[in-house]
Amino acid sequence: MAIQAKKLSVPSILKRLFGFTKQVRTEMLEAVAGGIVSGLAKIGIYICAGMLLAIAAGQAPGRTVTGPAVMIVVCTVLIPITYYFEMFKGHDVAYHLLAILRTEMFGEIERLSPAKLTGERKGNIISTLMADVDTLEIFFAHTIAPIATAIVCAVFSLVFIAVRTPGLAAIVLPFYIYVAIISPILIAKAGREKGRQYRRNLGDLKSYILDSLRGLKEVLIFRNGQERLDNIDDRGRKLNRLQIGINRQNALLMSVPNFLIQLSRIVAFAVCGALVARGGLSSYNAIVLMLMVPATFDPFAQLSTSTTALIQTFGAAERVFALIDEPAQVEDKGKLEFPEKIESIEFENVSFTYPGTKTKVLNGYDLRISGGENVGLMGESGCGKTTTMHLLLRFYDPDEGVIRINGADIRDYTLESLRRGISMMQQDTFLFNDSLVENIRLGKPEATEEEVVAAAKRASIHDLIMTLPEKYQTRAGELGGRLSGGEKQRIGIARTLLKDSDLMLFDEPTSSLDILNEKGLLMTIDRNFTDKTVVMISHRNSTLGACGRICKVRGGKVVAEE
Amino acid sequence: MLLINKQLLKLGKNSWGWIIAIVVTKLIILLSFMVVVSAVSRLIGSFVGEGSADIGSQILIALVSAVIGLVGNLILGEVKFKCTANIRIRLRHNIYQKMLDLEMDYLVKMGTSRAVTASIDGIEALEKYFSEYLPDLIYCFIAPFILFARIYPYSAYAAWVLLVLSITVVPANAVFKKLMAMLRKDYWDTFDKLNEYFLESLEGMTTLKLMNRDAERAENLKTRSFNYYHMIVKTMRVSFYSTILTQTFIYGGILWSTFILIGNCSKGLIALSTAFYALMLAFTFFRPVQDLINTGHTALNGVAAANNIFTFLDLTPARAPVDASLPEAEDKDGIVLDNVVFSYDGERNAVDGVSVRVPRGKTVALVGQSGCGKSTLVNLVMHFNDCASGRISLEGKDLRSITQEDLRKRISLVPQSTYIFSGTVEDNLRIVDKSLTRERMLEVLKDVHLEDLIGKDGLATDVGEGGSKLSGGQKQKIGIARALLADADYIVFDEATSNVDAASEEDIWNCIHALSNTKTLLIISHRLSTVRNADTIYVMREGKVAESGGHDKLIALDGIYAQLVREQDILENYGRRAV
Repeated sequence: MAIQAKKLSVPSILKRLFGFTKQVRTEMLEAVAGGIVSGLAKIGIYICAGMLLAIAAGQAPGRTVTGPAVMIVVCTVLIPITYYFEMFKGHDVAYHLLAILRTEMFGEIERLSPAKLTGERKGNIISTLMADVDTLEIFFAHTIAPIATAIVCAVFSLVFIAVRTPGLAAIVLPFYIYVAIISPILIAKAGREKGRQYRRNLGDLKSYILDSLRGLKEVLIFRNGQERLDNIDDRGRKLNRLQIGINRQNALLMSVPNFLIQLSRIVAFAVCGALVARGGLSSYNAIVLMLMVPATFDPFAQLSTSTTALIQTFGAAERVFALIDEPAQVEDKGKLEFPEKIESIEFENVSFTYPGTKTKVLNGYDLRISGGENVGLMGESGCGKTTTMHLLLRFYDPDEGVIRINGADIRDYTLESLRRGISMMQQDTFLFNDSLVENIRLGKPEATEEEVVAAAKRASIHDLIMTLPEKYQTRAGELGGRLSGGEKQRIGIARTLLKDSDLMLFDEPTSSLDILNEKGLLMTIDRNFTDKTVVMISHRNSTLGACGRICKVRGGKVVAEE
Repeated sequence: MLLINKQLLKLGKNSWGWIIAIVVTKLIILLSFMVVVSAVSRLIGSFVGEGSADIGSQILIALVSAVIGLVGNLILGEVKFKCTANIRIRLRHNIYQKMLDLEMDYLVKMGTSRAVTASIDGIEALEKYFSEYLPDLIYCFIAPFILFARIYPYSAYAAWVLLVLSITVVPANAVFKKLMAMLRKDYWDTFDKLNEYFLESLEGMTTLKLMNRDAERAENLKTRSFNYYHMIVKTMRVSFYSTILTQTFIYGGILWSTFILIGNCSKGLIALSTAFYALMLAFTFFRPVQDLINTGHTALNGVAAANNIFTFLDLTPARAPVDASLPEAEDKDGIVLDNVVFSYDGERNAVDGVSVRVPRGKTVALVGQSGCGKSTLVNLVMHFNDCASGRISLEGKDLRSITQEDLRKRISLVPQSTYIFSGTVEDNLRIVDKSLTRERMLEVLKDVHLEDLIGKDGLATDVGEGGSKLSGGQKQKIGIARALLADADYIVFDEATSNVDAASEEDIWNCIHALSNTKTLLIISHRLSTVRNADTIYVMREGKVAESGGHDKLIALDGIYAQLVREQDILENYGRRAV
């Protein structure tokens, strides 16, 4: 991919991230507020209980129970209510954002593809992007509220303690710093390295099992089953060894905060006890603090997951923003409508280099095609045949020279009408997991059932479809590997027939077909597109045999015609 | 209400020791906590001159107990691992073993992606069931009673309130659980579908653009995403009512018992230190139940995964078990199909009374248009399926009387699309036999004209994931190389060249023709010119043998075969011209 993630500053990332949330701001504030109030209410219960206890034990002469008693009831009532807000609104935000983010990302990819999203790593890009979108969703829905809650509660607790005894606040602070900041970071870091290793090994095992299943027929025929089983066991054991490492590390990192909380009870006593003995602190306040201090650690419990998410968010945001900031490959500034009937296609002295590469794929390329012609382009792979088609479809624009259709520069046509006016059949036909009728109808959404059947008949795929249990309603996904390359190509032809544009481009339509299927396909193409302008690419003589004219391409130039 | 599954418990029978160990460790952690709190409350008593506790020794007790708690937590991670380590390996082993037993049936009965999900994600989810849910469940039956016993002497009333409430929380939570489980399944399904749609739209983007349907697809995606969002928020509300209920129970119980204990303290029934201690215990009273409810959510996934795995492990192959007592056929020359019938759906016979003889040393071809039953016949000969009636025998022995192992030592197959495993060329050849020598492999690669592939890196050439770096022709050549290395007496070719380019096709047919001198071959092909030289050609139509005999005889007959030959000749010569 040509898109490079740029390093962005944290404030600018945050600013842009929050830009996404315009539509969900109210719900998000509600969720965050719910979290904060719920966290404070939980600490409040301990404080009030401490006050009540001290009053009951006669340690606070002059104080009445009414205040703390009312407060503790209020806190208790608040907890379920705010918890509901935190969880319900939090999830509401999450799913709402998921919908928004997906839609936006799809729009971005649509804008950039195919030029900027092709190549062998396409699958990779897609999965990274999906993961990035998920990460952003987790950030908004499950990271902001816990972090905000932790911060507010920690500040409240520190102030509450400091007002009564600054010394205890000073001693508790490092405990907070470890439990709320250092420990989550350690966990996030440790989890990242070991976790990555574990996930990689798990992924390997998954691929191995998948491989062993997809190739089950071969495994059976060649009696390879026992060896596969042994390998699965071995890999499982290796995974277990990694797992134990992770478990040990987690146990260590998780139990230390727990220990510190217990320790805080003892420390709180040491400080309060000393102060009470010297008369620097009332026993009333001492009791309240002793009950409260351990409870103030509760809001930090979720922070380790939030920290992991936070760290991942920045990386994900950078990649997502890089995608959004990437300009589209070609500009859509044309005003003309693409012609119904092709009269001429001219490539005049066209030069082109793929972005990010150095070799000129086309170099002084000249090609003239008249309307209704059937032209074959022939040459070694990488010679510029497919580039010819990419330029015609304006996936890219030439660096030099000009391409004209019916005398007008193709950049003067609207992109929409240009792509409507040109059909291209790719090397592999992509079938969507939808019914076959819908797959064929892709070429013309308003096509009737009869039109679809007529197209399938012309593409010689109707008979095969009729042998399927659900005929045209069969879902392509359920066919799995049952359709051969030739059969898929025929569905592609039916689709293209329905689209019915006057200019047809075929990119290696026969590369995975045997001679009989190849000829069958060519005959179908020939019969159905006699009145169209056809450009066909192939490295095979047998495929181009039926073309009216064959141009040989070498070194980015048309070198011979016959 | 409780997620207890008999099969799961049986599966975990070797892990019970570890599960108990987890519970014991958790109890030790609880006790250490109680000791810390008890020491601290004695210390607090000293503020008001209660008791005569020695401050130094109480602090020491608290410290030591805190350290014991720390150690307990450390051990917990270790024990949790031990609990499921073996189960994971055993289950994965059993799942793949099941695939091997089911053979190609697994595709229909389970499907590749479900099987992979079961053996990876399913097992990961299952782990939590044993290492978290079951221990938490047992712990939940013990811990509240210990706490109850400690609070009881100070206030029987408070102790009962806490116990009764904590026992009711779980069933109260479960009122919604069924509903939630239903909703959950619903929305996971919808979520998966949405995900698939999204992924597919990305993968098919170029096609969408070429067909000018991208804007429409984007609109669809938006509608679908927002529909999903609205649906989910509506249904989710229900699940959160259960949260409100549980939270009300828990915090209500804490409030109630706090009032009781403080009341007792103000009446002078219990000392401050005792009240403090009891309060701390009351505040932790619901922890075990809360943990159980939380792990219950994860365990739910585990149980769902387990059900998936168990239905799978319960599957049995459709093939009858090996029965050595079946009578031998009279015709002992090669492979003999005698009046074979087979149906996929029990309604339409895909193979309908077919008799075919493949005598030793001969080459026999099966031809006919797609859907005529040729490939079904291959599956029957390879014994991936049993025939519904009729008999297939190998040198007189009924296929049902031989083990699959033995059968496949004798008959090998080159499928329509050879599967290439990730790894190197060598890895892909060695699946036939671990002990192959490099010389032998190189020799065979030369025989199948694959020298070009192994030019640079030799046998160590990487073939990519699923053979993605190889062309269709190269893959099929590897398929043939495997069959050569397997050195079986009979080789079946199932449309071995229908997805390869013309040049490879020629190489492969040359190979097959050379093989016909030394092996017995059964060749399935839709391209008639390739099987012209076969000793016998069977022409199939709608599941039956329509014609049979040598090429010349069939041409003279002027039936289906002759007509097909004529059609294909026209096709093969179509557009032929010198370039």
